[in-house]
Amino acid sequence: MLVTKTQAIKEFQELVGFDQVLTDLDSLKAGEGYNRTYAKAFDVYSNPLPVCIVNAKSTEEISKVLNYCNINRIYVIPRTGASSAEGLLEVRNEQTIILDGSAMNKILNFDVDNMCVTVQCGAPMQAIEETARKHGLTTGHGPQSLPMADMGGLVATRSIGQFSTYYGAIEDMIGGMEAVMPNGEVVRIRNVPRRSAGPDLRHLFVGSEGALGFITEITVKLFPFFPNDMWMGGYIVKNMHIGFKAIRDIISAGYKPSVVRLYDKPDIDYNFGSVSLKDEEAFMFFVVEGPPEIAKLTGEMVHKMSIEHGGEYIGSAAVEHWMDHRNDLCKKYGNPKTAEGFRETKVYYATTEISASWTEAVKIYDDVMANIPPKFENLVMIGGHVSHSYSSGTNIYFVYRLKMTSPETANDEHNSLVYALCEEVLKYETGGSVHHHGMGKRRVVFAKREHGSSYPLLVKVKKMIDPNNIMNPGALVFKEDLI
Amino acid sequence: MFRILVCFKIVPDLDAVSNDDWKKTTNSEIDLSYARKILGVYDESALESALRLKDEFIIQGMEVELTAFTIGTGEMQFQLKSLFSVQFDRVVKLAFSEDIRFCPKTIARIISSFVSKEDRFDAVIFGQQASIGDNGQTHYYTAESLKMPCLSNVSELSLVSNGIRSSQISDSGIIKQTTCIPSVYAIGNAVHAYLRVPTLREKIAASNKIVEVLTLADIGLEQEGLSAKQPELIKLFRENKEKHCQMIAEGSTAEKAECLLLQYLKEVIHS
Repeated sequence: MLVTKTQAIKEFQELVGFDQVLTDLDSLKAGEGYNRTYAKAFDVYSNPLPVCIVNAKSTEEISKVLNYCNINRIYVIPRTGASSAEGLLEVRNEQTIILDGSAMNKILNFDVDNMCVTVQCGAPMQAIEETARKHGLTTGHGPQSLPMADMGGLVATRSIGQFSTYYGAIEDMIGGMEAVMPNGEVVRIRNVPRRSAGPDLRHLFVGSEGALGFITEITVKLFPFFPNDMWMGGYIVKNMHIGFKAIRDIISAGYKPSVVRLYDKPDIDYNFGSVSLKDEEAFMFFVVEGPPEIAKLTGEMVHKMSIEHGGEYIGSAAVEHWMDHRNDLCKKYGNPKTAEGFRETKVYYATTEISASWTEAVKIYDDVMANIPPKFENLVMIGGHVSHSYSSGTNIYFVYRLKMTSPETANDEHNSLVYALCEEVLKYETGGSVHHHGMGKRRVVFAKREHGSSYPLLVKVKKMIDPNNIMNPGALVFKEDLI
Repeated sequence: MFRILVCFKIVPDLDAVSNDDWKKTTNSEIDLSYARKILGVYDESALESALRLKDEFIIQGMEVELTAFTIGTGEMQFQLKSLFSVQFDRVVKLAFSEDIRFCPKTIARIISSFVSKEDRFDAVIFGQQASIGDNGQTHYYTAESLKMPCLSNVSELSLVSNGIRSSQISDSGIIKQTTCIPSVYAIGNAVHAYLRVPTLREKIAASNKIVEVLTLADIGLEQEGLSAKQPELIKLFRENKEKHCQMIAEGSTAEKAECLLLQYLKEVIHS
């Protein structure tokens, strides 16, 4: 940092206005969002505090701030909804500011004729979806963080929603976008239906985790919405292996339910408790959307194939229950009761999502369930579910609870389990150690193995776009590789 | 050996019942089949209070036995077995098919009969009240039947040299007293409200333990003598607990406060 903190704060105030620069202790402590919530419940803050929070209200302000930071070598962590789960917003160096775009929350253009909506980075996903629904449309993007997340962060983390099997993931939904480069330069990528004009530059920013620029505006697709024609069906299958096979066969046959899920007993017991399963059994369920004729036929075929795989049909009530409560986890964030629970029980719940081909996903599931518990004597539960499937494979969303030794060691204990789990995944050729949360600063240690021989290419891109390494240091690539 | 009995209920998690379910009334019932089963909130505190008491006994090198007791026929093996994992010595279920959620006298009679059949219990602990039924009477009826003193709104229990010391929350403050043995305690807003969580290893270690299932005959009761007149359902509605936020945009802090006060006074006067 080439200026003092006091000078930097003064100059930020001149750039964006006095009221838009936060330096109070509470704001700085809350700067990292919902990271290290366990330790914070005990008032333990182990990361350095940022210099300040700069709330930007326009692309121009973002540009000015980044330009200033680039010149003065001040680290910048971009932030909108702050719902990041993988340590993405963690401050690792006290010469850091958090640049917040959540005040840029407008829906700029709702274009029904061309089925797209253009929003600023701070537009809440829930508000965008509610606006779409008023027009009988949907964005199709329903991550579990829907009540909390803003569009900018959802793009930066390459997120995926609960209805992805039909609508796609965020990268399938984006039209054009605008971003600000680390040196303050504003780039706009026009919204065209498709282009064949070289590499797709949008993908420099989608999943960039705030390390290549600040996404300021996004255009996403809209889809017709048929809420009254949804088909839902729930099935109990003998075990997870059968469930994997059933889902693989349904997806590979070309059917695209919007929701395709398979829960093991520990996961459904802890998170919903809505279906009674015997020890090895699993709960498989589907939601089908689309034009009524397509939804009806797809539902019929999904039902037929589920029964053919030995599924016991239990109706749709449990699926409706899941639809109603699927985002309840968001109520726990920032809730004083959650912090009280941490202090009283010393137990922390977390998740790690991975991906693999169909043949290897089953093996990974078995390996994790067999090999992780013996390594962690403080493990309270571990389970998992399948939530996003493709013809070539699927993801597994592992869920677990750990009894923490202390708030000071909690993050390390959490990391230990995540690393052990990722090791089980990366043993396999098609094992992907991160499916949709972004590596953040937790799983970046696996960046080299995740990208293999393409990792140096990512490092070159980072060095080229952000030569001073001011953008979210510690994310995307290993800092030692930037030296 | 000091013997402690904790009486608890497993209830549906009403927070997990969706808004739509409240509208679906068939035979004046709400569909709770998909609601997760949890320990009653105050019962959870009662179980943890008993465990903390046991911890103190062990530190003092004194013998203690913890028994957890519930009534019902539903499938609740998972919840019952987990009590072994947190060091309950016995878990007893009295199989009873009738719906007695609104019959505190019947429940008290069953519990009293169980206590009487056992050698003795030095402390009988309840949660203050249940989420369904919500009568807060069961511990009183039980104490009356067993001729034991009853302390309610207990926030904490601790072991002292001459017995059990209870802290009770009252309107005038916290009453701390050493109680005679045996006594009945109803745990209200406890200092430690959450039941400790066992690790997977602790669950596996306890997996071979057996839940005792008793019948009415085992405790000297007959079904006929227990059948209680069910309360009549007059009306079923969901209380609207929506909150509203009103922003007062203009004016200084003092002006805003005055505006709020005037609004509050108006509401008070009109009500």
